[in-house]
Amino acid sequence: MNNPRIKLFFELEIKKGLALLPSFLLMLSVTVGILAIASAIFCAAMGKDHVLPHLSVAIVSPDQDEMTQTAADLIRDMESVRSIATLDFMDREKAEKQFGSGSVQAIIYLPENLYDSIDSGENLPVTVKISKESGLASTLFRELAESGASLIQTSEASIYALAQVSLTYPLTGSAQDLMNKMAVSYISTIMNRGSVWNETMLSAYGTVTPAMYYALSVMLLTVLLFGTAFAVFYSGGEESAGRLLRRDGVGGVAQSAAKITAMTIVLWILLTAWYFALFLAGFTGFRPAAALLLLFAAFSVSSFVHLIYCFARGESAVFFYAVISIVLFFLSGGIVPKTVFPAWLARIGSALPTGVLEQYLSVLLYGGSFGAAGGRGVFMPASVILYGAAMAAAGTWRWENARL
Amino acid sequence: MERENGSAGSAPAVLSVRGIAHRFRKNRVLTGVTFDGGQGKCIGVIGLNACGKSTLLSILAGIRKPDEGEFVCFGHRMFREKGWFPRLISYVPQENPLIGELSVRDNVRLWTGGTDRDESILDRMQIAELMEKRTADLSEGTRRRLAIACAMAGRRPVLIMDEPASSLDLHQKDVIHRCMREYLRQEGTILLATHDEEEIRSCDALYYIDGGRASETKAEEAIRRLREGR
Repeated sequence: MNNPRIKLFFELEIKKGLALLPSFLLMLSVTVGILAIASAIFCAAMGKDHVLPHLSVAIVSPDQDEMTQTAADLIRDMESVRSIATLDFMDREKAEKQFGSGSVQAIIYLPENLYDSIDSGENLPVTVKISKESGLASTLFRELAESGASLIQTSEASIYALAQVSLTYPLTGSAQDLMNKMAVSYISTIMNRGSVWNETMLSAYGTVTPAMYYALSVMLLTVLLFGTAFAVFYSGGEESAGRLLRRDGVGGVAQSAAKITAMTIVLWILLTAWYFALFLAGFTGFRPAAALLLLFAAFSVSSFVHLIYCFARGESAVFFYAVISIVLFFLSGGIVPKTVFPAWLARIGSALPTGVLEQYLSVLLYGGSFGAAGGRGVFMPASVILYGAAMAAAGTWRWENARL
Repeated sequence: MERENGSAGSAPAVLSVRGIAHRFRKNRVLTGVTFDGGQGKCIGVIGLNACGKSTLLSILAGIRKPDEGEFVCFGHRMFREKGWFPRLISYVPQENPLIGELSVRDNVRLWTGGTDRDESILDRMQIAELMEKRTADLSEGTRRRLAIACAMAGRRPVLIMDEPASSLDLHQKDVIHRCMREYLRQEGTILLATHDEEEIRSCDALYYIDGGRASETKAEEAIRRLREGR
C-alpha cells in the first residue's frame, strides 16, 4: 500500500459498492412484493390450502358390531387418512349410488363377521373399490389402504404368536379373553400412527422446518443475485480504467483485492441484515460470532462473482452469471432439498461451492455442528474460505492477463 | 485547431519512436514504425480503421508491450524504465477510462491523485460545476471532456489521445480543441490518432499508417487517402 493510488482505489471501490445497496434493496423489495401478490392471487384462485382434492370414502358394513365400528373409527381418525379422505358408514345401495355419481370416490366393503374372522385367523378379505378418475388422491388412498392392511397383518401376526405362547404356557384367564384384550390394546396403540410419527418425524429438510429451509434458500439466492448488480465493477470502462491503473502502479492483484473487498463488505451487510430478519421472525437466535463468521460466506460469494465476471466479459456477462448462479443454486439444493436428489447428484451438489456455502450458512444460522451438517467437521468453514480463495485467485489471474 | 502544419523536427525531439513492431497472434499489425516528436508539437497518427493506430498509441502509452522496437521519451528508454510512463505520459484511450458509478470528483481524484493537479482545466473543460454528479449520468460528450480533463490535469509533458473528438458536437469539439492549444502553448507534446479533418490540418507532423508501416505525409494528402479509403 505504498502507492497512495492503491489506497484511494480501495476507498473508491468500497464507496462504489455501498452505493449499489439502496437501488438493489429497492429492486429486491419490488420483486418480493410482486411475488407475494402473485402468490396471493394464485392461492385465491386455487381456493384451497392443499394441493390434493379431498376424497370421500364410503364404508359398507353388513353387521354394525362394536369392534368393527371401533376399528373403522380408529382408521378414520388417523391423521394420514383424515388429510386426504373423509370416511362415512353407509348402506351398500347409497354408497354405490354416490360412487356412480362421483360424490364418493371409494367404497370399502367390510365382510360379515370381520372381527371374528380376524380373531379366528380366517381373515376374510376387505374389498376396496376406488374410482379411476380421482387421480393422485385415489393413488395415495390405494397406497394408504395397502399400508394399513400390511400394518394390520403385522399386528395380527404378533397377536397370534402371543396367543400361541399363552396356550403353550398356561396363563390365568381364557385364551379368548387374552386375545381380545391384546387385540384392542395393540390396535389402539399401533394404529394411532399420527401421534407416533409426529414425535419421530423424518423430513426432507433435515433438522429445520420447511419455512426455515426456504428462508435460508432465499437468503442465499439474494446474495447470489446481488452479483448481477456487481457487473458495474467489470464494465468496459472499468476494464479500460483497469489497464491504465495497472500502468500507474495499481496492479491486477490490488485491483482484484479492492473489488473483492468492496463486494464482501456489501454482501456481509446484506447477510447480516438477513440473519437479523430471521432472528426477528423467530427462526433463530442472534449470535454476534455467527454474524461475524458470515464474512467468510460473503467473501466466498464475492470471489465467485469476481471469477465469473473476469471470464465472462461484455454484454452477455450478466446473463451468463445469472444462469450459472441459478444452476448452482438448484444443484446445491436451494429450490428442492438435496435429499430428493439421486445420491450421486446430491454428492455433487454438496461438493459445489454453493453447496458448501448452503451447509455453512445453515449451521451458522440455525445451530448444530459443522461435522453433522456436511460430514466435514472443521473442514467446512475451511472449505468455504479455500473455495473463495481459489475462485479469487483464478479470477485475479484472468483480470491480470486479459487480452487487450 | 487552426494551427500551422509544420515539421515535428523543428523543435528538439522529446519523443523518439524506433522500429515498433507488434502482432496479434499471427497477424502483423505494426512493422518498424519510426518517427520523432518535438516539445510543444502535435503529432497526428492517421490511417483507415483497424490499421493499427490505437495499437501504436497504447504501446506508446505503456499499456501494451511491443514485440520489437524502442521508445525514448525525454531521454528515458521507456520499455526498460516503465516507471516513467505514469510520470511522463497521460493517455486518453478510445474507450473512456472513467468509473461510471463514481462521482465526477472521485474520478478526478483517481486520475490525478498524488500529482500536481491543474484545477483550471476543469473550468476550461466546463466540468467544474458537475463535480458531484454521477459519471454514468453524464452525456457521452461530457464524459469525453471529463476523461481529457483528467488526463490534462495531471500536468504530464506528453498527452496521447485516441480520437479525442469522435462523436462530439461542434461546441464540445471547440472546447476540447481550445484546451489542446493551451496545452501545446505550455510546451506539452500531443500525440493523437484522428479522422477529424480540422485536427489533421492543425497537426505539426502527420504519419500515415498503412500495412503496418508509418510514413510521413501532409494534411491534404492524408485527407485524400482517407477519403479514397486506401
